[in-house]
Amino acid sequence: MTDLRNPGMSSIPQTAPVHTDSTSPAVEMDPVEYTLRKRLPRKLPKRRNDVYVNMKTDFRAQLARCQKLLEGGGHREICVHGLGLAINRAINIALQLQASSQGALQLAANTSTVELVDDLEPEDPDEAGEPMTRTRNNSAIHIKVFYPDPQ
Amino acid sequence: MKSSNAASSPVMEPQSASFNPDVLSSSPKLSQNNFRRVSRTEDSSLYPIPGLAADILHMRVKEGSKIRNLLRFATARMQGEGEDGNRTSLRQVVFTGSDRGVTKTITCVEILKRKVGGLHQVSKLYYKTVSEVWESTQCGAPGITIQRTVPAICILLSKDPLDPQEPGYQPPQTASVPTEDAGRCRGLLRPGQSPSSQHTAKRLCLDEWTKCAQ
Repeated sequence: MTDLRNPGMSSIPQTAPVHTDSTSPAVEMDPVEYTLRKRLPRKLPKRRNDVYVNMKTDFRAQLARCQKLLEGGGHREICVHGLGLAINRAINIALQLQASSQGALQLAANTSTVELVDDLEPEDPDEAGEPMTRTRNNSAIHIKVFYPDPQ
Repeated sequence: MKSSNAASSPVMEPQSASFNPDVLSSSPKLSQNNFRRVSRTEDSSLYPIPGLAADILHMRVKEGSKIRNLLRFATARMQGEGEDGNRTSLRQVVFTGSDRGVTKTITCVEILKRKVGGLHQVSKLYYKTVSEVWESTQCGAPGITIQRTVPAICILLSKDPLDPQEPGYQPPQTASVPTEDAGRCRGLLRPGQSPSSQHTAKRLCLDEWTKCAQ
């Protein structure tokens, strides 16, 4: 069984059908091995005042970018978006903006579900497996950070 | 009866302070190895959403809570009579979560909205104060108390209509007509789609996606 994990050995025909019998009842995997490739999330609309928060960029840089938009950029409102793990960071940025504005800024948070697509590509092109896609859901947050109207 | 809190074990790993450097700059990064956290109390302050009943069903989502446990309980209470039959279904439920439980809280709410249709939603963000008592593992050194502020979210789901002017209001998903204010971010949300269609049309998704990407 361990030989199957080795990509170099998996093309030997007599070892391939081992998976189909009852020795491994819990495993529903195909006999062909796949590489899982995550696609980028669907491209979302982007205005000048949209900020998509990620986990790769430095937190302070993203916070400074939002501050610049609100103070220097002359925007009355910006929209901070976060997906999955970046939800926490998006909330943090929004709350930090609000705290540093001494109560002048207000927050309005909306949640949503985003469909993500994974590609499953067969490791060995000679085998019967064909590329598949799989969709899954992830949570997202959209925070409107805005100066409330005077009235 | 409240949701079980699985995250209150004393052997939780120290939380990373990299998310909000401004808030957490006082955490004992250098001496963390010599200290052991003995207790963690959260302020049980009022809900940040105005006008809520005190006896409302409150789901506290922790980092280690299981989504299926939370949802099994919440859907049973929201979807009408429970096992005993004479209990009426609840009209409202509040989900709160802080720090690393925030993502799980939102996921719970999103799934519940799909299960129980026609729910109005109000989301609020706030900072929550958590005071931790750390005691030194070396004898002689005194223990310390730390006030930490962690980001938190509070989401109210209601079968009855809520005030659309309230910041953070979202109308039910099934109503496809976006209201004027909450429709601001509405274009980003995915359109209402039956969950069963995802599994049958895997290849279709691929084609759809490539079309959208152009």
